[in-house]
Amino acid sequence: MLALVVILVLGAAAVGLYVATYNGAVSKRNQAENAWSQIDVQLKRKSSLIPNLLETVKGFMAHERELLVQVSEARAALVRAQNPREAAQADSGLRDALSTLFVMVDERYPEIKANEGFSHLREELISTENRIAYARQAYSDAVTRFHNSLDTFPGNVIVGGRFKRMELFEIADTDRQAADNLSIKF
Amino acid sequence: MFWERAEANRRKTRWLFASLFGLVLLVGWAAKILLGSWWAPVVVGLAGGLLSLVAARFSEWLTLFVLKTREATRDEQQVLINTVEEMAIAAQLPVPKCVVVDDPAPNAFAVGSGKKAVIGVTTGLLPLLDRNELQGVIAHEMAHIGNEDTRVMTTAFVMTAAITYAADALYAGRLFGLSKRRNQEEVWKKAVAVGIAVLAPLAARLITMAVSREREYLADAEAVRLTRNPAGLAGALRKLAEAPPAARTHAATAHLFFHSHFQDEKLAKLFSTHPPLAERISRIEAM
Repeated sequence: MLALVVILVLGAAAVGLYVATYNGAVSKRNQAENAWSQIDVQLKRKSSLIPNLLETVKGFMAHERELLVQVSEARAALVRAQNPREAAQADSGLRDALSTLFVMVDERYPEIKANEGFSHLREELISTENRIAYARQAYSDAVTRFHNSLDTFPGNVIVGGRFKRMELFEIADTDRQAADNLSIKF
Repeated sequence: MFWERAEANRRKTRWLFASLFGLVLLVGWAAKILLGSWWAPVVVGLAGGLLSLVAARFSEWLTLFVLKTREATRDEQQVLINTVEEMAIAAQLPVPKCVVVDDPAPNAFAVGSGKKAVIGVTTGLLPLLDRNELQGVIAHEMAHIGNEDTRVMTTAFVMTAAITYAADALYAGRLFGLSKRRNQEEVWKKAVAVGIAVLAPLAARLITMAVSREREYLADAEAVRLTRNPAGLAGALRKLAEAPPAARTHAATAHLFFHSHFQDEKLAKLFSTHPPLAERISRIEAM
């Protein structure tokens, strides 16, 4: 009788532990996926701001046709991107082109700088750039938490092999520096 | 680093709450010694606690009313709304409602948690800070929301109120002769019990204020984790240290705000809701 009770209690504890560990891992994976979709949302937001920006500066910057085309092409590449890696690459190209544009405006086009519509768009772009950076940070924090739950006890024994690991994309140092420069010059 | 910092702060908060609970037990013991029964102070303490719980719940809403807040608009406060939305992404929280208080003294506050959270800033804050500094302040307020600090502090205040009411009930019980077995306890026990009745409310207040200060340090550490930029928050605190004191942020709502000016003298530090700015800055820069 006693043995039966002990077995039942141990069995219930084992099931409870399994359920808790499994659900914990699932909710951590969902958090990471949620953070990932946030990056996507912000990249879309960024590409939707570019046509307005070009519309605003085009009248003043007729001589900088080449640069404007460059910005427009970088945006098109971002819209076309099929996977995270392509999106990251296209995004960094767009960031460089925008950075050049803003430096040029600061140096040579005070009339654009004073334009209210332009400064409004510029703030929206700064903010979007920050949102992308924060969403990436939240994503990599969430993925790290998810992987930790798979690698540490009891996760490693119970559910470790049953979950696919997520991609932790590292932002190259040069990329990070470009972002820093951008936030100063914007 | 900020992770260890945040964990140490949480541990300290748990200890402070444990000591508040210990105080409640001590007052109960004092009641048994002085009155021979538990019920009077317990009932009064519970009633007092309940009353202040209602008041504290109400006060979230009342704060917004008393401070005459108005909702921020994208036309007028574009940068503010943007930074709030950015920090919501970093903290993975729902975007809080964003309000403005017409007050030239620079300050900020957060009330509530989850979907009902509100972040407010004074009109004096916005022109004073650059974008990174504002980001630091908003991150600090977002950390308060994520840590559910409104709830933590309400709990601490309610426990303090309960202890104070219970101690009052003890005096009243002695005065009006509720005690029937007053001569059965030893004299030294009575002396200790009287001491407890006198000191417990004071100790509870000191602990509550210490909890409040710990939560401020914790929010600073979380803000650095969210922004990965200690310089922004430190810069904001440095500018606030030089700003003139707030007109409408009086003692009753001080615990809600980003910083408080009620802390100039040494003794006042113990009763302050916020740690000194200089200490906050040096801890942030050490991260």
